[in-house]
Amino acid sequence: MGIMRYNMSVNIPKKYRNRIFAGALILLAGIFVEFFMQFDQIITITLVTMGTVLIMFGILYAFRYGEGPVQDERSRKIGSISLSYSWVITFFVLTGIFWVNYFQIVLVDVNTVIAIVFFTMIITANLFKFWFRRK
Amino acid sequence: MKNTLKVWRAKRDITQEHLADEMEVTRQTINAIERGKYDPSIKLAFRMSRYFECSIEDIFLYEE
Repeated sequence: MGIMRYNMSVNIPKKYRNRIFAGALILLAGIFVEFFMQFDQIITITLVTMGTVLIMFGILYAFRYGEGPVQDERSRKIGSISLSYSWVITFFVLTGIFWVNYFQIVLVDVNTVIAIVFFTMIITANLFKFWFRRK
Repeated sequence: MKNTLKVWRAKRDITQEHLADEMEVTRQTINAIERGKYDPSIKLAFRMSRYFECSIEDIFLYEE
């Protein structure tokens, strides 16, 4: 157990260790809220999801990047270009939604529009990032 | 923009990984520069020239 703890502390850089620790705390807070407090279940779901994502990304980044830089000038440039392209795509999607709604081809409510914008931005930004990295 | 980074790296007998660590960038960035897919910033070009103890023009060749 001692050896394992020693290896973990050596292999995982401090910034990721802190992230994993913060994730574990949030996850535990979510579990605590569920069992000992009378809040809406959405709070538990949000806390548990946040904690899990922090832990998973902490571990993933630690093994993928280690002590090296996560971002450098090229990846920052790719990131900003991808976001610009993603913004333009989202703008066209929103324009499309507006006209579709205006001519009552499909009636969309606010929640649907927010969900479409949310996923369009995330998916297109990541697709462009992937494409520019390969290019 | 063309470059002779691979030659300079071979002269020093260092890996892309090692150069990336020295320049504080990712190995993918060094690889992209070597293949002519990415033009580095002025700052990175200066750091490389200082590291290899030569001028920027010795590594990077600008052609109209």
